[in-house]
Amino acid sequence: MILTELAKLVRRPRTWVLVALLCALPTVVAVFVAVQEIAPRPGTGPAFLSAVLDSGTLFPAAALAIVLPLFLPVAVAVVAGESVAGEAQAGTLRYLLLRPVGRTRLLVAKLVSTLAFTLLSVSFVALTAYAVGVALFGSAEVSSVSGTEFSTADATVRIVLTVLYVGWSMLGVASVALFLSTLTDSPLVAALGAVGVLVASTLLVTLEAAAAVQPYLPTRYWLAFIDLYRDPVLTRDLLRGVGLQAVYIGVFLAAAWANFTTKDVTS
Amino acid sequence: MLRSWRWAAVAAGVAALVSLPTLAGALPTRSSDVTAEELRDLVRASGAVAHEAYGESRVDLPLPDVDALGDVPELLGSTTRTRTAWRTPLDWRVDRLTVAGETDVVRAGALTTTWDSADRSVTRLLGDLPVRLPRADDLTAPVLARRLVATPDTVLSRLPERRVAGRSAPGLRVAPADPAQTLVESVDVWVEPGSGLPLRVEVRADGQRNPVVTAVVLDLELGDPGARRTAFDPPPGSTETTTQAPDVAAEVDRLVPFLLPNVLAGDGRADPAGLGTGGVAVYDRGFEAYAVVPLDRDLGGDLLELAPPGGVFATPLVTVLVGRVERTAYVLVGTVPEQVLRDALTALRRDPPPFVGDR
Amino acid sequence: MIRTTALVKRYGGFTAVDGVELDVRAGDRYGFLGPNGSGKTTTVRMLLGLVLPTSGSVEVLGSTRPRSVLPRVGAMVEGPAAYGHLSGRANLRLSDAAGPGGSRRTRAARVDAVLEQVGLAGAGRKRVADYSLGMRQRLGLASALLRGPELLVLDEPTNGLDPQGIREFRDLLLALNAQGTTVFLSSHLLAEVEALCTRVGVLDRGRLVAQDALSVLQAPTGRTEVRTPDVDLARTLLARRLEHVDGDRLLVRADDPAALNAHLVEGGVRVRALAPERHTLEDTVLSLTTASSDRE
Repeated sequence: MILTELAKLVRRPRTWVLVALLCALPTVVAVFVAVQEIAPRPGTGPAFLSAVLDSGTLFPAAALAIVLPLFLPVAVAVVAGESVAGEAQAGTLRYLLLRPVGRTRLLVAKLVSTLAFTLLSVSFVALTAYAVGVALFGSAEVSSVSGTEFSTADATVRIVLTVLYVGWSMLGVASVALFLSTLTDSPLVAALGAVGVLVASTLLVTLEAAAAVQPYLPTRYWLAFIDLYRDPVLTRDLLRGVGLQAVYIGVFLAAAWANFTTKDVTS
Repeated sequence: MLRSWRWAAVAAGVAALVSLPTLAGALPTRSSDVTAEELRDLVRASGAVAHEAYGESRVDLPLPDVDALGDVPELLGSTTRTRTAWRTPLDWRVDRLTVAGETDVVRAGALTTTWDSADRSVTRLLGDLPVRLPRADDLTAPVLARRLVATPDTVLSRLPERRVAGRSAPGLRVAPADPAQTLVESVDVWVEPGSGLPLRVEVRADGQRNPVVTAVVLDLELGDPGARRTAFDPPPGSTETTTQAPDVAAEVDRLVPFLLPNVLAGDGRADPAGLGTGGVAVYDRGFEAYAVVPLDRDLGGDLLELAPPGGVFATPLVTVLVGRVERTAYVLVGTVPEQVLRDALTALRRDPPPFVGDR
Repeated sequence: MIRTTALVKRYGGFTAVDGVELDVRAGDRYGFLGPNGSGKTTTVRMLLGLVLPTSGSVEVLGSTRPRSVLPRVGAMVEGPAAYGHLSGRANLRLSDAAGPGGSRRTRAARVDAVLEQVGLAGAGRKRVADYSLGMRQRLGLASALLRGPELLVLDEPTNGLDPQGIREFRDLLLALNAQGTTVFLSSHLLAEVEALCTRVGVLDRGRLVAQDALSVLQAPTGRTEVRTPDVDLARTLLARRLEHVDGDRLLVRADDPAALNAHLVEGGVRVRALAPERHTLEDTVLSLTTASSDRE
């Protein structure tokens, strides 16, 4: 079942359109910065972008910072929101269940395929950004945010960890969208619902009066991947981010399971 | 039936997860019979305690955003996250962590190096400035507590234990002996019981419900962080500038060279003149402290324009008074009521400081 | 094969299915008749475990847990569905791979066989998005047949098929039934059920109002229909046994058509046609179900 879901994902043109769009945005940004030779003023614009004129090695991190606030979560929400509700809308859900595919199994397969999409898109963004970055800005020596030197191996390890961390953060979005996807037969509603949760969370993270709930907001620790580029790595927020996302993933998957396995399929 | 059973299981799981942080916060504290004086002495000696820490400092002093103040308004109006590696008082590093970068202060003997990741600049300063604008490292709980606890003319008392950084920390209250003369109501310090390292500082101002300054250590690891952690070599591609402390003070003198009095309206000067800081003077008697700064034409003009009628910016802990003495704008700033600053300004007007530079 | 006991499904205050007791036997071609909105689809979904009953029980192929016997059931519910961007063949392969059992090595052969069976062999490579409604129906049936099911549950399967397609479809079901597959066909089309089924259940507003062999529901009425040019002669000969006259068409109360024929011929009446009158399924169903204007 998991294999057939992955096959569906890979054979679906939309998957590749989304990945291409995600890769295109940082590329466009890089081309503009390279042609104009104007990087954002330090402290403004996406993280790491101001340093990119000196070296393209860390451009993958800048690229992820560019797509992280909106494009990436929206893409993941679309794919995850589609997973069950899309099958329901197309009518294929009942045939899958009649095949029969166990409902829990189907949910797990959908989750795995969403996970695959997430890792696929994040990795593609990082890889194209590395290629674009090195081609446009060269691969001069880079330093950590803390002012120490990075070897190429250091930088590579940190970029891989960034990909994993961002992917894991996106899984939180995915599980919210997956849960909503089991509630409704409209993939659009599920995706929009998950995006709505994110927008609300992003808003509250910046609101000082909401400080009491901030440690529990799903987007609170997303930008903590920047801590990977400090020396030594500041693990505090990273670990909290991983734990918090684990809680979100666990809670919403459990809710999705409780709902979907006991739900009347009338689509 | 099946449906409600499954939902109940999910709800129970969520409830358990949500209550975890609350349970962790409710861990009991252990009371100790250490006295307030013992705690104060521990804190004063705690500069020798080697440690690594992550901390947050929150200051609630809304200052006008004037370019000449640099990032000070931000430092004093928001939460600052810091990471400290401390070996000795002359060998440490404090990183101010921002979302996408760092401003790091590294101390090695007499040399203070500042690294700003945003513009990749390294600034080296040799020697200490008697008076300077606050930096992030001044706001970490241990540094702040050591400075405040050393204030003369105070009354000490014990506070109950409190959990800080996962430890049961005894508390110490430092209050001004003469509350009428200062806006500071109290300074509360909670201390790591073994080493005496201050873990939490709360500064309260008169009539304020919440502390105006809160500095807290959230993660603490005692022990030597190692020489590598506090070493700093400028990375490739950075810009470097080196200055010496007396030069900076001389710069201030050159800009606004007034010879400020050693005693002003009955208050003695904390930094005796003659150290090359003629441009800035600090007067204090414990928590009642204020600085007098003559300003150059540009900055003075800016501030006089920004100032509300009467020239007073009042914040919960700090009063700022802007006024003219003859043709020069002065700013007086301190943890004192407005009247103390007005008296000082009157004294300056009565007896204007002599100008000692070239016009 | 299928047995339900006091099956009830409520949605809020609305009772969609109310105490249905289905009895489908092995080898049946069972027609499940009822107007639109009578609860047929909800019942079918409960049989297949898509919808959970509010109360009552469902037993399919000897099991009360529909999911455990689904591998032996082929089904088509409320029209076919497939991924439009993939070909028919790719859809069947995905569908086959998703379910349990079914060796990977024989998958291609299985898919080709069912495509052949439903007459889609030539269109297997085409994208489903380009299929006509009839072709999609055939693909849906092909998918239901993938595992050679013991029981076929088909809900309105001939929607969108042309008369030729309906004919082929019926022949296919008859052939499968002859090989031992039990067929459960839910439909609102009387003619379809009449042409295909051996047993019939009639659902009206959630209640099962009749369930019997088709031959019983189409039982003789005890009257014989006679056509003759000699109406007046027949009238005197038959006297009070004649119930109705309509032009050259007479309705005669008579159990034995052969005896009636002999009687008429002896009396000199020329008989053009003579046949026992039977109940039509339409009459039966209409008398059992509520007129559509009475329904909401």
